[in-house]
Amino acid sequence: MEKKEKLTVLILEDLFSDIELIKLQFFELDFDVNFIFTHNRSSFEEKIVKEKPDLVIADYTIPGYNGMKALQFLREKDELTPFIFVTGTLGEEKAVAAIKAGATDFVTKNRIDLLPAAILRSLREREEKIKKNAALVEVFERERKFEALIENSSDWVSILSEDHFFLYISSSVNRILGYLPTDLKSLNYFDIVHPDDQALLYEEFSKIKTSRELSLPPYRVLDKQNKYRWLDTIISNRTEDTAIGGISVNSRDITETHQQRILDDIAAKIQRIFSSPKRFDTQLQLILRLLKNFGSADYAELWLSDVDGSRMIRRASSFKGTALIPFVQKSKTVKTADRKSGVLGKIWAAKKPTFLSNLETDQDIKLDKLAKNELKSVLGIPLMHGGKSVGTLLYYFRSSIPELDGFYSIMETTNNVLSVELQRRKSEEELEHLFNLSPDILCMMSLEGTIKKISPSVESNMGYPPQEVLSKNFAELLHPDDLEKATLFQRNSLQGKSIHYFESRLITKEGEFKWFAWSAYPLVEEELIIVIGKDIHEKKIIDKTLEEQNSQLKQIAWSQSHEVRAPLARMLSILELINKGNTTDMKVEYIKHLNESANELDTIIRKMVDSTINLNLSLQ
Amino acid sequence: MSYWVVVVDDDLITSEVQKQLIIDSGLSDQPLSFKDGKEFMDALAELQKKPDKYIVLLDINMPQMDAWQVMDQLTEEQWSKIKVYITTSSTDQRDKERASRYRIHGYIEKPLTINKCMELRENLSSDGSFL
Repeated sequence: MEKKEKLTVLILEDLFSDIELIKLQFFELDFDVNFIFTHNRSSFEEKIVKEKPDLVIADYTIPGYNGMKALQFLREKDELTPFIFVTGTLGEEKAVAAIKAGATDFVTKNRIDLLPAAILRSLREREEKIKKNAALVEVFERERKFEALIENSSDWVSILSEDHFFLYISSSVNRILGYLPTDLKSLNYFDIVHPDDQALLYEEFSKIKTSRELSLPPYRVLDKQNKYRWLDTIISNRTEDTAIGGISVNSRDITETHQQRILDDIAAKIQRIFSSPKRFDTQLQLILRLLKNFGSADYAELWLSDVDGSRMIRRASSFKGTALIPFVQKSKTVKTADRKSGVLGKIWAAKKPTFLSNLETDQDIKLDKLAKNELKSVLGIPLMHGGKSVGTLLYYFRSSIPELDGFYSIMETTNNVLSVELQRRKSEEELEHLFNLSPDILCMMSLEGTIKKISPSVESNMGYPPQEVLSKNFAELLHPDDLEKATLFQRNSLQGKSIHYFESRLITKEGEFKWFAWSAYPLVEEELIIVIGKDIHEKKIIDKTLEEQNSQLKQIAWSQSHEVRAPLARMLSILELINKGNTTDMKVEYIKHLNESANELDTIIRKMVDSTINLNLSLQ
Repeated sequence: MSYWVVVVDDDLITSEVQKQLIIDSGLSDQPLSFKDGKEFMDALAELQKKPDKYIVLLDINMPQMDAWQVMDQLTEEQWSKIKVYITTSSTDQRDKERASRYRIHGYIEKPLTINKCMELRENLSSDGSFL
C-alpha cells in the first residue's frame, strides 16, 4: 500500500458543525491527516509551538480570540506555514489586511467546496517557498565565503570597467599598496600605473577583449607612500558574467623578488658587456644606459679616474628625452674635470653616495644653464676599488625629489662588480696603450722562443707587420752571428734568470740587420718570457765611429812617444856631449846635427797638429 | 878589454853621438855600430866565431828588423855571449813590459847620457861576468 504523506492540520474553530465540514474536505485529498482542534488563544499558541502544524485553518471570529491575532502569532514564529481563513462573509477591507498580515487564502463557508483546492495550492506554495529560501540561503552563504576569501587573501582583487575604471576594489589593497578601497573608487586603473609601464600594460589589457584570461608581465603601480611596487597580475574578462560585469584583476606584490631578479639580471648583464669584444667606451656606454634606465634617471654620466687619480674623465653619458640634446652635445666638448670642484668635488669630499637637490641654486656647481633648467637634482656614487677611486656615476633628475630606491638597491648589487671590472679594464687599457705605443719592441714568447704576442712597434722597427712574426721562433729573426749569444740568453731564461742587457742584431724585412739591446724577464709559472728590445743601431754606429777615432788618437799618442821623442832624445844626447864630453873639436859637427834634429822635430809636430785637427773635424 | 860595446840604431846621428858618449864615459874605447837589426845579426854571425862578448845597446824601432825580431832570432849560444840593453825614446809602458819578457839586462830610456854609461860600467864590474 502506498504510504500517504503525513499532514498535521490545526483547526481554530468553535463550531462543531464547521469543524466537521472542514474535516470532510480532506477526504478527497490524499493525505494521512492528523487533526488538532483548538478554540481559544492559549491552546492555539501552545499547539502552534508544540505541534508545528503543516497547515492552519482558522475562523475569522472566535469568542475570546480572533483569526487575525492567531495569524499574527503564527507569522511571528514562521513565515511559511499556510494559513487559510474559513469564514462567513468577509469585507474586502478585512481581506486585504489579512493578506498583508500573511494569510495564505480565504474560503467562505458557503463555498467550502473550494477548500481542498486552496489547501493544495497553499501547500504547493509552501513547498516552493521553502525551496526558494534554501537557494537564497545558499547564494548568500556562497557570496559571504567568496567575499571572505577575497578580503583575506594576499592578492589584491579588483574589477574594472571596460575603460579601466574601478568598479570593485578588495580591501586587501590596503595591505599591498596602503590605500583604502575608497581612495581608488573614482580613479582609472592607469592613474596608478608607472608611466614607463603604461604603454605595455595598455596593450596587454586590449588583448583581454578577445581572450578570457591573461597573465601579465610584471609592472609597477604607485602605492600610498608614492613608491612603486611590482605586481604580478592575472586579468580575466568577466564582462559577460552579470554577477561581475567587468574585468577582474588579480594582483600579487612581487616587488622584493622582482627587484632582486632585475638586480641579478643587471649584474649579469654588466659582466656580459665587459666580456664582450666591444670597445671599452662602447661597453661603458651600454652599462651606463642600463643603470640609468633601471633607476629612471633623466641624464647620467660615468667618469673614470685618470691614471694617477688627479683628474676625472667622462667616458660615457646617457640621456632621456629630447630637451637635453643641446646640453648633451655642448657638454661633449668638456671631457675632463677636477676631482676637487663642482659636483664631482662634492661627491669625492663626501666619499659616499651623495644626493644634491639644489642644482638650480648651488653656486659651487657650474652646471650649464641649459642643464640647470632641465635638471634639478643629482645622485653621485663614487666607485672605489682597493681604497682607490676608480670613477664616479652621476644620475641627474628633472625632479628635485626623485625616487632613489632603485639606485640605492642597485648600488649594493652592482657597484662591486662595476668597480672591479672598471679597474680591470682601465688597467688593461692603460697597459694596452703602453704596449701599442711603445717605440721599443715588447714581446711575449714561449720558453722555447715562439713569439706569442708582439707590440705593433715591430713594424716601425723592423718592417714586419706583427701578425707576420707571430708564431715564428725568435731565433729566425736573429743575425746568424748572434745565435750563439742568443742560446746563452735562452738558457738563462729557462733557469728563470732575468737578463738586463744583451746586444744582438735582428734581420729586418728588407734583409738588413739592425742592432737591438734586449732585456728578458722569464715568467716561469706562465711559461712565458717577456722580452723588451730597444733599437740601438744608431748608437752602435756611433760607437764604431768612436772606436775608429779612438785608434787614430792612439796613433797620435804613439807618434808622440816615438816620432817626437826620437829627435828630441838625439838633441839631448848631443847637448850632453857638448856640455860634458871630452872632445871639443867636433862641436861644429854637433851643432849641425842639432839643427837637423830641431827641424825634424818641427816637421813632426806640424804633421801631428794637422792630423789632430782632421780628427776633430771628423768627430764633429 | 874583454867585451865589445855595440850600438844598433837606424838613426845615424844617434849612433854617432852614442858612440862618442860611450868613449867619453870610458865604457869602451872602440864602440861598434849597426844601422838595423839585420845588419847586426849578419855581423854577429861573423863576430861570434871569436870568444869575445858583446854589450848591445838595441834600439826598438828599426826598419828591416826591429829589436823584438832580433831577440827572437838570437840562439842560446849567442845569448851566452851577449848582454842586451834596450834603448828607446819611447815612454810607452807597453814597450817596457814587452822587453821584460826577454832575457835583457837593462832598459835605457833615450837620451843616453855619460852618467847612464858610467852606471852601466859600474853594473858590469859588480856583475863580474864580463870582466
